[in-house]
Amino acid sequence: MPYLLWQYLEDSARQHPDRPAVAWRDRTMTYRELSAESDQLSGLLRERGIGLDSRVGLFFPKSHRSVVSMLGIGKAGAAYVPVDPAAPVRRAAFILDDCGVRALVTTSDKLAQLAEHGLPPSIEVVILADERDTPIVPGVSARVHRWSELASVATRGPAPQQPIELDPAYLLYTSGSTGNPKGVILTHRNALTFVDWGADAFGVQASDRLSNHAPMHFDLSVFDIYVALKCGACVDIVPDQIAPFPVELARWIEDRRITVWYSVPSALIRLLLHGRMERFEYASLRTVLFAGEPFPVKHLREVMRFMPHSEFFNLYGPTETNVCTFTGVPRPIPEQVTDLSIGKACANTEVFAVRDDGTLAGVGEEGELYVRGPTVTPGYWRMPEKSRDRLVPSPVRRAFAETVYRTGDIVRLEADGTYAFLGRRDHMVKSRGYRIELGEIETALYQHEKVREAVVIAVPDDEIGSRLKAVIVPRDASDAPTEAELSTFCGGRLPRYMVPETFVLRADLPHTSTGKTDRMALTRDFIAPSEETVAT
Amino acid sequence: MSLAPALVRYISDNLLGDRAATRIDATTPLIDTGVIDSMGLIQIVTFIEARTGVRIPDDALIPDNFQTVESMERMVEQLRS
Repeated sequence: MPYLLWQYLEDSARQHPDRPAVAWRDRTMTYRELSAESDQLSGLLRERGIGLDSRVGLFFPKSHRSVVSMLGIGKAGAAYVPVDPAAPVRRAAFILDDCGVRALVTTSDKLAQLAEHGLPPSIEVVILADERDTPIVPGVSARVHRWSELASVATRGPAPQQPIELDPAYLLYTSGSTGNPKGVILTHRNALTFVDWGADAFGVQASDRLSNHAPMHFDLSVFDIYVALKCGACVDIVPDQIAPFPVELARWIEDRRITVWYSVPSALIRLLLHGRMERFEYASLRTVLFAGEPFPVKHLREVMRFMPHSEFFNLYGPTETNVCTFTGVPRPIPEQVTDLSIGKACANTEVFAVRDDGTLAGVGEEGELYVRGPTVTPGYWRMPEKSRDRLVPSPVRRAFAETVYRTGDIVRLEADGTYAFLGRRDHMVKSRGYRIELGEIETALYQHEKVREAVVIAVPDDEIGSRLKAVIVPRDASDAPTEAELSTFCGGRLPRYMVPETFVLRADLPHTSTGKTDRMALTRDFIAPSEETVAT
Repeated sequence: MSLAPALVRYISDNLLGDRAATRIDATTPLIDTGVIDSMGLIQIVTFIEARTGVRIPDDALIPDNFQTVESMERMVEQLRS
């Protein structure tokens, strides 16, 4: 039985070496090729002494080489850290520095940007993943290798010294409320438990073709890649050149004969609203999975109508727990259903809701959702306090001590044992399935010299979950920052999905009786007045 | 201001992230460089529609029409005629 992620690949490569493993645009790699190329990358890292207890960053637009890199890094015994290729360089550099990556797979463009900003000093080795060989950037003290050099690496294959399943397989950075992203550690066991469940729950076979729509730094990709590798199936990576264009993407799913699709709801809603889905039959598509945010039922009904051969499933779980609950969507969705349930716990996982007074919520009661099981993260990278805040002694009394994860999500236990998602305890919001801590955006805005006060609010939205609006009190009303100035400023510090869509200037902010900024009052101000007028 | 310079300005202000200082012009490739992703496309379409009054139909949302500012301008002219 595999107990390290890369062992899925080796098992499948032995069983069916000539089946397709990864596809990206016109390039398809067989299991044999994927195994060989990841062996080479592993060898190169090993020759440079990078293995156990090391991290290796991935910072490039996704392609088949993302998958080669993850596996090669795993085979070397190291953990990988995928960084949003669209992130501003200072954020990427923060992440790479925070977890002290010793090697980095990137492109020559991105290396040049990093070098200009200051390459994190921990980086000893850089491997360029550009499609074609590109000039090596001058002024970088790390040793830089071209991808083509992998072919001539003398050492090959998995390192003899391997971690155990409780060691980190990868780190995923998510938005942090105090202004910097935080690294969630996922062990091999965390991922394997999730992957084994996913392969089984959705009956994935070697004949399946799984899409990979989510970015690699987003935990949805873990399902796409490793469930495919475990089952000897093919993962087909949606090219960045197609993903933005709904009509093209709608056709891509049909043309590539995708059988299992997994994405955030907003990606499917975009296909529905702009993809002209009526042109396609989607005869091959048997399973559609979605996660990351609630799927407005009115849109989901429509999507299901255009994908008549598919079973639909709602998956739920923060990055820290992988997927922990799920439910099949009935077809058709009964008329009285207005919100989709997040369902029941996955196999080998337990969830329960804890009320404010610390007791377990009964049927019909609300509480914070807690998760226990092998998919739960051991903690945040070098953030012991934050880890202790979320990973807490179980409030359920047992004969032995154990730690459970509190999600911060408020749920209600229904009579049939499923859970209804109601909202958040804190200021984390979802937009396009991305987790966003409003505090991280506010911290960035406070760094602008013309800003005295900043509050970011999330206005609920049917298409993308929520839209971000920043309310700004300028230091000097006669020298207030312009909207373009603030947008550019945020764009230099935050990923695009965290940059507010609009910036509103105010002379002051409403405050609650305790002196805090009254977010509720501000949010009420910005809920589209036109909609309210229509409603009355 | 005609559409092309206004678009260049808009993209520079809103879509270049920390490359805001990078000079772009009407012929700079925008898709392969990652400037146009899902969010970028929506922002650009909204901007063009608001500025020109031309509605961009779903079938016009194809890579060929958004490779560069020049190709967007050409698309708008075709949609106008």
